[in-house]
Amino acid sequence: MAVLTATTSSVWGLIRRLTLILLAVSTLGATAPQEYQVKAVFLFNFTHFVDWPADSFESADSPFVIGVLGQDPFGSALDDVVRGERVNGRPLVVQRYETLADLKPCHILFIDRSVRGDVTRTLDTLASRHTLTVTDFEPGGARNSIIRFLNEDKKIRLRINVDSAREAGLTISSKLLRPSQVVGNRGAG
Amino acid sequence: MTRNPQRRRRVGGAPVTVLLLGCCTAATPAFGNTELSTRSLKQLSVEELMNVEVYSASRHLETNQASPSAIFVITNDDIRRSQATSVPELLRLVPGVQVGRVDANKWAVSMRGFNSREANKLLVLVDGRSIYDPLFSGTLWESQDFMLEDVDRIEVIRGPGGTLWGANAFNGIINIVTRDASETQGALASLRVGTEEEYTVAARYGFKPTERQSLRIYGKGLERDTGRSDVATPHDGSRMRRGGFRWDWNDGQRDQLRLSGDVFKATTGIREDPSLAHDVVHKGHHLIARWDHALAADNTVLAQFYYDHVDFESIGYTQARDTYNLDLQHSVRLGSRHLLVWGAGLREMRDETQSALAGLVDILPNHRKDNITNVFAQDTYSIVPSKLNLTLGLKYERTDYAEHEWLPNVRLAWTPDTDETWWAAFGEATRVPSRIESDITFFGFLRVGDDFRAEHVRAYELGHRRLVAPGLWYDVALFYNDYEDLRTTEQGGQFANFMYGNSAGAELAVRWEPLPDWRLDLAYTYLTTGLALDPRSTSSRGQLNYIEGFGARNQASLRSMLDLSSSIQFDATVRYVGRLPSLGYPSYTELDLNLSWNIRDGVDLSLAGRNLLHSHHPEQNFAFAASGMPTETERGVYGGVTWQF
Repeated sequence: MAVLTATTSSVWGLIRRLTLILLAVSTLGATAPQEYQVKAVFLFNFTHFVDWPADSFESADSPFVIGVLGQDPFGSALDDVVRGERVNGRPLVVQRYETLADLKPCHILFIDRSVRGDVTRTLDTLASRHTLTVTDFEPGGARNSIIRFLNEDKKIRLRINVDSAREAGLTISSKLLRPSQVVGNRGAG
Repeated sequence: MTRNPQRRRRVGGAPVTVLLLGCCTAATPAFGNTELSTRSLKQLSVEELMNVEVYSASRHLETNQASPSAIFVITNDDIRRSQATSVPELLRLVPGVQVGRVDANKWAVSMRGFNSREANKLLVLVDGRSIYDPLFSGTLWESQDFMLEDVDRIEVIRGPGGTLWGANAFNGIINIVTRDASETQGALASLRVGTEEEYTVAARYGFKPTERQSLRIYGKGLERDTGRSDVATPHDGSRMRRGGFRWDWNDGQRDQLRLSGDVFKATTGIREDPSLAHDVVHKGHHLIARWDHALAADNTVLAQFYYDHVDFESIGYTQARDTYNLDLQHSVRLGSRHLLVWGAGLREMRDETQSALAGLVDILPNHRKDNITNVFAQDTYSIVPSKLNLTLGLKYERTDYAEHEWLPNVRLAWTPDTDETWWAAFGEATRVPSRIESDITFFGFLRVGDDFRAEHVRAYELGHRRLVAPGLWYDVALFYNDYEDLRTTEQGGQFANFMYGNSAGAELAVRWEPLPDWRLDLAYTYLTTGLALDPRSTSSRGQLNYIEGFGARNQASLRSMLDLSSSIQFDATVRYVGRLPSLGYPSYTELDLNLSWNIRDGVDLSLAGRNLLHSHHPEQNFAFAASGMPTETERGVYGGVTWQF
């Protein structure tokens, strides 16, 4: 019976999919978002689901900073996402740092794989600095980034290292943890 | 490990909505569609965002985009989708790789020319263990089989491997990497039944004995039907049994340990009539131990040891061989601009080889012990951080067959931005004589290989790869190989190094995703080889023409991978291989089709058709007629079920 239901729904899915394919091919447009567009939206969403301690801001009106270290894979997507947005009344800004030497304090840091060689040093530097570190590769060293983007079956999933988050003094909402893979430093993932 | 409960399930209409929004924006060019779809993406919940489908082409680039070599990676997902039953079959669609089926169990696999069953210019590694056979100098694909579900990726690197790879990485390397045991948890059982692929049964169970350890054990068995021959009754049916394990441990900090092993028996060339000599049997087992240790950040050491035993038994001769291999490697970042990798390798091989025609043809001495020693260093220097990298490497290698060899490698990669890489490389490689070439003796006294030395190549390469648009990516590589000291067979049967020449070619890979659910992969290979004889040679021009004609000038494939629904996938592949002039084989075009249905969580049904356009066609012959009788590849159909829980 379950199989029969599955068949019916797959047939409907098939028809719907074929229609969409025909529609999309006929317009010959880029019909799916870019990977980094979705990742940019994720970075923005993190501002809602993570609590930064008050002392991570210099003053009451200092901005909330999303940093990108290394080559910027987002193009204009990240700027598009944060344009006009505020986090708890603070303006949201994007900063780009070419190398580790250029790094300034920020609340979220996306570490691009172009600076992969420096990732362990970067994570060590930031470990207790209230920075939500995000990568889309496995850092490979002793320390993990707090959030790692995983590509699974064309979709982007999150792996959250709660030990690293605790070390950074950040609290992550269960709303973000629930749909994600949660690991600790000792648990292999 | 926490598993995401929604792993394979699609939630509601989120992907559809985004797809539709995308269509609308594409149809209204007045608005920047990025802005609108960014806005629509921001409306989604975290769960919904996790179910948005994105183009995956860029994922392919993650590790290889900036690589200064002609690399192509077949991922676990590609393997699963291909429904391939063997590694050579997967390699058919890789640009720059020549694959021909010699008979129903034997394959000829090479890169950049010189393809035959005895193809000896390609190094194949499985988890760091060489499966290059030093007796033939080549890979006996009929004795190699894998639990393909547990293969993480197959890295195909064309061109001389250079510093980090071992001897005989002459025209290319195939590096097969299996998954970490933590990634193969749970049970998997699969059964496949068909006309040519008579049956394949495989089972694996993975679990975690403790939090930090993972283990998997597996077993696999298969039987293949014979090919077709109009000349004689084919005896190329085959049977394989295999079992093994992999154990991984990490302390979450600095250390990782791995232990893996495997036992197999492959019977190739089954004789139904017991009075006709005996079957060809390959047996073997191996054990690999590996330790990765982080001394500090960006400062790691790795030590790997393996023991490998093979037994080979055929009508002509038998061989038993033990290999002991130790590799050490240290990678360290020096300052902010240098990455140094250096290390050493030691290998000892002991064999016993007996000819069935003792006194007529022998491999003498019957017992032999050989050592290979190498030391290497490679530095990658960032001339302009993350934009321009120069790699310089040098390897010293000493073998009992080819004394001292110095192998330099220079590679330059320019990455103007993350989406684009230009690279150029120069490298040298050697191919050392095989045990047979070195020790074959006729009538007990006539040794033909005593003066035969290593073969050499100098390779010049140029490449460019680029992500043009979110769903469009290409990779093109050009090469020119300058060969020296290639083997000739002189009048009187002596082997000599009197052949030289060059080959040149172009290799193109294009991936286009018109939709996230539809991917097209195109591969095209152009190859030309020109050889000449040293004036000292007494060999004939005919021998050169024969070898030049081992590779097709043109070869192309197009694969379409379409997700008809979230649970039904339909793939079609068209392959073209140009004619092989020296074998008198015509060109052929073939069609493969795959259909798979994820009937429910953990249960997949599949149906595959192979070589559907012709009832049979010839692909490749033995280089030496005496080595065996080729058969033609037949049309085949198989279906199967995979169950994971």
